[in-house]
Amino acid sequence: MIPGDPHHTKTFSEKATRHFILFVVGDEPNSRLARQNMECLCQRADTAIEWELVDVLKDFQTALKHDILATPALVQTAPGPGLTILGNLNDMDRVLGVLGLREPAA
Amino acid sequence: MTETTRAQPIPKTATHIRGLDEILEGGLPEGQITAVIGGPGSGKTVLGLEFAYRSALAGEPCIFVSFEERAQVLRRNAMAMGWDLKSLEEADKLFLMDSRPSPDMIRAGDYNLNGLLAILEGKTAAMGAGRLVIDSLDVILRIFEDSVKQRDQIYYLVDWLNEKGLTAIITARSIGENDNLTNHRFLEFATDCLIKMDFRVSGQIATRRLRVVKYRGSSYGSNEYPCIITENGIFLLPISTMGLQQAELGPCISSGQTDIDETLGGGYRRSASILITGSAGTGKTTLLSTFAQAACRRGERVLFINFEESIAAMTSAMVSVNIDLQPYLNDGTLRMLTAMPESMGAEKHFFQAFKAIEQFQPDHVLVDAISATLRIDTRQAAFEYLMRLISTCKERGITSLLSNQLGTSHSVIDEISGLGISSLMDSLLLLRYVSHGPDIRRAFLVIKSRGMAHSSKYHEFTITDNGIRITGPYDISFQAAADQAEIDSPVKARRQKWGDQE
Repeated sequence: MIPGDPHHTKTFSEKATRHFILFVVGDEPNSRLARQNMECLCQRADTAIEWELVDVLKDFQTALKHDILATPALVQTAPGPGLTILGNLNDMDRVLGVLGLREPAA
Repeated sequence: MTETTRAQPIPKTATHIRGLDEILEGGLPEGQITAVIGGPGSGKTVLGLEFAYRSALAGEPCIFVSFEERAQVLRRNAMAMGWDLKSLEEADKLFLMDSRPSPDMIRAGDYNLNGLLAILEGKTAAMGAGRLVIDSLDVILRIFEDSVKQRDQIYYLVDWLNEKGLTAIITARSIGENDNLTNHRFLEFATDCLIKMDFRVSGQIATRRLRVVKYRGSSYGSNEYPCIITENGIFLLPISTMGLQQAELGPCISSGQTDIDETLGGGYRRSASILITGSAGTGKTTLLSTFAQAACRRGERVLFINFEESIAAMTSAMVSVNIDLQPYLNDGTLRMLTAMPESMGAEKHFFQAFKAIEQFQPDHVLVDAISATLRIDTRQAAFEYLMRLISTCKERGITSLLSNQLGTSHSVIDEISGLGISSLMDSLLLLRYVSHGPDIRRAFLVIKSRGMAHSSKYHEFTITDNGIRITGPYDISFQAAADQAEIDSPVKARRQKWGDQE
């Protein structure tokens, strides 16, 4: 379990904390990219984020429970209902938009 | 391969699907991938599911990855075929992985099937599973947007399966998705065994067919085999794999009428196949019923397959010639199977008969009349139906007594041969009308009867209210010359031919 970036200094809006699981497979390129992008996402989001990392090679049961097919996959676990984003999260703007985490306009 | 190289048989995994292992000459290639490609409704999911079920049942853990159907639907469909998946799942012998891709999946960047493979890796290890079914590949490939990526995923999957040495079935849909063609080609190329299934409707009758297209390192039945999905799963009974060696004929058994027995040289032979050909009204059904009654009276079980009339119509007609079959229907020595030929496909007809033979274990099977099987579908389908029915009887030492109605459109010689099955017949009987001065009478001729010193003369007979009675030999010189030329000479020619064979 890797905690979310603890060094954020931003003040968040009143929105509830988001909980995510990022599913990856070992250290293959897309999984590595996804981890980096997830850290970046936490910095750019306007809401507090808690996330854990699941390596399916080490914990397939959790992946099964969340119906994981393709990886990397980001699953929002709370607040529900769950939402799944497929891919290495390179398209950051799209991720922020879809999750409604877009940073407020400066 | 040179001629001196001795082929090493590759290890195989039996599917325990009826007929399929015979076609595959033992089963699927062990530790290899078999692709099953077919259109919608062709039965590929059932084939995969049956493989998974029968594997699990035999104690071989299997994972069924379903991209298409909910696990719940699979369980229900399986239950309809008497397969209790739930208890196998509870025993950890079967795992139904409900992996239908969500329609509202959001994509943001690159991804691949590694997650799925990692899950399968964990699960196969946890269960000790050596078998896997993936149904169907094209559904999961749809989550990838371009064909290059799709092909990459097939490659990863095939590579992973090979590395793990799993015995796997991958199904893929084939119809109307031309953009999948290259993927299918790739799958075909990358797998060791390829089975194609299809579903056709002709003349309102649906038939499924299965064909093994390739099998690396093994020979296989390469025909297209009709198959049906029954209440017990897939059913294939390949005609070409059935042993056609003639079973030894049993002792003489009475035809039910002593004077007929005499012309036959003592009666029919047990386990023989007997074909009775004649025009409408010459007494074929009476001859069959006479035998049925006599056999039932001896306590032998008779299965009567009737394509012509209902049970009630037939039994009441026979009462008028003093043959009462009702008591034997009541006490279960006689079983009737009636079906309009047009009501279903040849496969279903055959399966019904086969099921009845397996359950009822008859001593004798009677069919009235094989000419009606032409109405099922094509001539070829009728031929295959009969061929398989006769072979099934022969294998089990069951006597088969078949009637064949002479029509007017085909040549007599063609029809006497009974749709071309005469080479399988041990005895051939001909019933016909003969002119006797101004009268028309019935006559009876034993054309051939293997292993019997039978009469070679026409015998006149009448159907009395006490059954069939032979009245004496018929003098062929009564017959008009033209009639003789038409009927008698081909019969003689035939007799000559059969004589040569014996």
